[in-house]
Amino acid sequence: MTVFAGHLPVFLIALPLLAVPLLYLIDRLGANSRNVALLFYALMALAAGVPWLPGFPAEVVAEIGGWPADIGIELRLDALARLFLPVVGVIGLLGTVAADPGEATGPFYPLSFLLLAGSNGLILTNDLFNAYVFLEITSISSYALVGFRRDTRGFESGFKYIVVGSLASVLLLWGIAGLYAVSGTLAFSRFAAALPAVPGRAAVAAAVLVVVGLLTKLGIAPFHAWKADALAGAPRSVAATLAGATVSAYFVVLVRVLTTVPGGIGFGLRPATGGFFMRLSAYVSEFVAAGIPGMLILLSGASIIVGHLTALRQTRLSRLLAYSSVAHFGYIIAGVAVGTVPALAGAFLHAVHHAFMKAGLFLFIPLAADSAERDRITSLTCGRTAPALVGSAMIFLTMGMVGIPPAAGFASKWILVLETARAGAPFAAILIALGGAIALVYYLRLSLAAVGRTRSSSPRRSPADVRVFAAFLVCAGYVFVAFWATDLLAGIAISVAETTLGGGG
Amino acid sequence: MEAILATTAFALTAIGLYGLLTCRHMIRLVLCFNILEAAVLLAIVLLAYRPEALAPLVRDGEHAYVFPLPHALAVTAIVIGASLTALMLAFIVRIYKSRGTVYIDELKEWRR
Amino acid sequence: MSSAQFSNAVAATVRSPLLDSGGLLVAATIAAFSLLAFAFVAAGVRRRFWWWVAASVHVAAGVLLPFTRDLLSFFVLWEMVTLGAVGVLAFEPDARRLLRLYLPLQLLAAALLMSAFGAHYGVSGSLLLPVQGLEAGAGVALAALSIKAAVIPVHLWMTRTYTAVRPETAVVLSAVATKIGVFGMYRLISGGPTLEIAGGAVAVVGVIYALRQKQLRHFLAFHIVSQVGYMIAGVGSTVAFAGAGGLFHLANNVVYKGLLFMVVVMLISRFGHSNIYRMNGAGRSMPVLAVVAVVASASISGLPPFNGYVSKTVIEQFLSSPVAVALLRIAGVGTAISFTKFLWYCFFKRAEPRGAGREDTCDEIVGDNAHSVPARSRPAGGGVAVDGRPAAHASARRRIAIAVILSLACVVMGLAAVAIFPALPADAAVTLESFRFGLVPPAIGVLLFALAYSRLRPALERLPSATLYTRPLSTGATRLLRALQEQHSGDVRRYLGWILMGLIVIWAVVIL
Repeated sequence: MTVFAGHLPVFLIALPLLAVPLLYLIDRLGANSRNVALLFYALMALAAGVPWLPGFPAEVVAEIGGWPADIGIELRLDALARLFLPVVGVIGLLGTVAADPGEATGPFYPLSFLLLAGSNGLILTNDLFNAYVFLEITSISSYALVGFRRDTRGFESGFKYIVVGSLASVLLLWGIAGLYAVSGTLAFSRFAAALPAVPGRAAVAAAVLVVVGLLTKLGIAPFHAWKADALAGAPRSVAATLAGATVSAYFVVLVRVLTTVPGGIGFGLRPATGGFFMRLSAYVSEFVAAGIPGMLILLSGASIIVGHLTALRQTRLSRLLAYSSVAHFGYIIAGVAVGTVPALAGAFLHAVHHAFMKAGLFLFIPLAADSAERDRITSLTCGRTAPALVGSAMIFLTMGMVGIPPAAGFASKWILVLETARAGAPFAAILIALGGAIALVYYLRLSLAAVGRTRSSSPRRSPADVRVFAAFLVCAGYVFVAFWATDLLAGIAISVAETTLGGGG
Repeated sequence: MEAILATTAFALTAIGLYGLLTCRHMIRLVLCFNILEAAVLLAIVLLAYRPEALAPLVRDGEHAYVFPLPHALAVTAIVIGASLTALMLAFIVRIYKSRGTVYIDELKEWRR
Repeated sequence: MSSAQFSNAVAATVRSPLLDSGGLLVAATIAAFSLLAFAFVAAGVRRRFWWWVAASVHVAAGVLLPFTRDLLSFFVLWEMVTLGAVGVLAFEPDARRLLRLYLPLQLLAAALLMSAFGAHYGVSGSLLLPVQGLEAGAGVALAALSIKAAVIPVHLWMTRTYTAVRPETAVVLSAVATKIGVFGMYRLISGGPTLEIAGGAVAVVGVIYALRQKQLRHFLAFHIVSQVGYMIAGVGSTVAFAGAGGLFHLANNVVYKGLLFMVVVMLISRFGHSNIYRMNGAGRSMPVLAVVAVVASASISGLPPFNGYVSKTVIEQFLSSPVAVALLRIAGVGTAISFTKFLWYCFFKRAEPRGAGREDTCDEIVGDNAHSVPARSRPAGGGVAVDGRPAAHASARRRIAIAVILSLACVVMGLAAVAIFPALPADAAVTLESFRFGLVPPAIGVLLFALAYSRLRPALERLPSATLYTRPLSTGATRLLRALQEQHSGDVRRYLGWILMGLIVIWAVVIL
């Protein structure tokens, strides 16, 4: 077991990379590469679950080529990776299963595996520059996948995505160079030792660059605007993967940066005394002095407000979902910025729940729309296959997004609200709680529009439909089961948060 | 020497960012990204610079050599930049074929 | 939050519900009334199955809420009340569009409540129901509860929906939502004189706006606002007996306000419109209904020996702030004027010779209540003797019977108040003495109505309506949303500019 375990991190990256040329070759030879791809993807998703087997070591470190972390690259399968590897694997699998056969031709499946390899690498790597490389692998394959609808809008979306993403990469690279210049190391696990506990201005400036680069990839306001344009033009299955799986991988890197660079997280206002204005000025000065966590709280607030309010007026579901993602990552970043163990656990839990809910809602579009291009909310209906089931599952998913009790989104949101308030960021708590109020308005519009109509044209069912249907139901089922397993999941998230905070110093 | 190079890196970044914000032509955007990337690479290579040092090739005898790690980073970044440029250009070609434009502000497809 | 806390909190409530007399009283009243209200609705137009499910969820959550021991279950049940109501509204033909108003306000309340619980949890580290009120975030919680209790100026969700749904639906809805808000104040807020005075003010303003209404259901809706003011004054007091009085008022209100809504339903289905001033002479054609209406009006105006008298007296007796007491007295007189007007115009004034009201059923709309009676309710929803069918007769008789039961309940709750609710002071019973004092404010009210109402009416109608603040709010919101939309118009260079600008601002804040 241990011998195998030691190599698992390498396998998780190398095997998908190996699949890329292989699948391309199969496709070139004229064979149908889809079934091979699906089988292999399922195997990779299973492999991502291996670290959960009993007897698997708590942390596996693989030093590539035998070099230590200072000069070589280290892959580290720790608790955080163990939590997010299956999320990326399973949602990626669902997205691949649901791919439209008309769009998934040529290099589509090879690119999917490139995306998977990059995401796994992002989650596993212990080296900032290596993370940059994997980030670029992930990003470039996702830029290409976004264009796969092969119409003008797809290309436009892809190009806009690539422009904004490239700027983010440049900023990130500047930040990495800066961090390397001040600390002399690129390993996450060495930052704490290499930087002073209160980093100097140069270090903070560099860290801000790295964080802003990652936040742009995540889509946090004001760096979020590309998100709707990119996701609206992408094939729906790709949008589901990007909004659920890829974003989770970016999020893991962000968490690693923030928890290892000193002063990255840990926001809490101490209760001040005195009159109203005395207290106000005390809070404001403390806020400004808080540095990066203060900035994160501000950005998360901006994301929640801007994301929800912009989503309110959207007429197309994919854009609406993209803006809702902006707001939800606002919730998650607030939990991270607060940085206590339970708040971080809440953020992890919400990231996982949100990944499934968002992927499910993106998969609702091909079920409910007449054609791939049309996703106007007013033209959606509840599907060709089992409209009652699809409708209720969709309503359930939106309940999760809003945070209404029998859906998993409620539990994580509840924890986030309580813990941000407890740690001293009550305004973040209020915004998180308020967000649902706005979200319900637009999700209710969606529900009423989609459920209240029956399809006029003759029903046509294709095998692809059934696959999308199955993937969609898996997402909805997760959201249902996860609510009842909240105690279990919260326990896992808390242990992950503990090791993440403890291991990073 | 170092000061000149560092200034050049920052100046190139400024030029690149200015270009990003002002250019409508998509190929120019690609060029701006190349300039930006060159600036970062310059900065990274500068990190490894030691006065009076040679390339990090182990020969007979001891001598001061520049730090090799940033060079490795720079090489990787160049590869990434090249693939990014290729992908961008591919998108531009497809957009030009289907829309007949190379100006980014004429892409308004999402409104439909 | 420790992982086990999430389900343990709910489990604790389920295993050992919180049984105190106040919670029991509220739960039992809501449950009993809602059963009768369901029977009342069932006697009328057929409802869809899902309407019943939603209404049951609404009521059941409201009944369970007083028994919760922890804030998590409290919040969940609070949300279920809202969701149930949303479901009911979704199945109402003319009320769906009102969800646009109803939902945001309700969810705003839920969000505020959630954050208040967060703040309390942050300070106390416990999610159990606080004994001495929330330790932190009480102000935020109060805002949330005020929205749920439909306090002016956040009453619009209530006044607008209760008047736009089919009349019978308002009977069901009136028993739960606002009452849950008041009950939450009882459980979560440790009050003080400020809250007493606020309650008094709400009572007075509610009555003033109720006085100017021409439509029956608008008139009742604003009386809910006013009655909620009484309850807030009571439960917002630190004096235990005043709190008990407030809760008893809550229970009484469920009964007599529901009864009034039933009376209104029967009036509307009899006359086909809901204009108070055109409903002449119902007393002669519907004598039993007239008696019921008198009992209900007497209860709400605080006439002995009906239940409203007991709770009002207890509240006024034990409030610590004299200002609040004075305000409540004024509100009491206003209530009496208003209900004298209701009884006079609807039941006792002779029908005008031309038979106005039969042919001219055009509904005039007053001020902020821009929603008239829904079109579908006009052709006699389960009407009384309109088409003379025996089935209609039977259902009308059933409805009258339910109303009579409720008016008996008004009397019993007044006479046996202490036996029903032991937390009340022992001398709260109705005695001969109480007739001497209890009759004074209603008498003043009747007198004022007779002497001054016709002169008062134009002045009342010139009062500012809620558009005073709703219009700037809505135009501002529209502008903001449009501006946001423009920022996301697909212009990549603008996106890049945002990124760089954000970076520079962050650098400036974090580094300098």
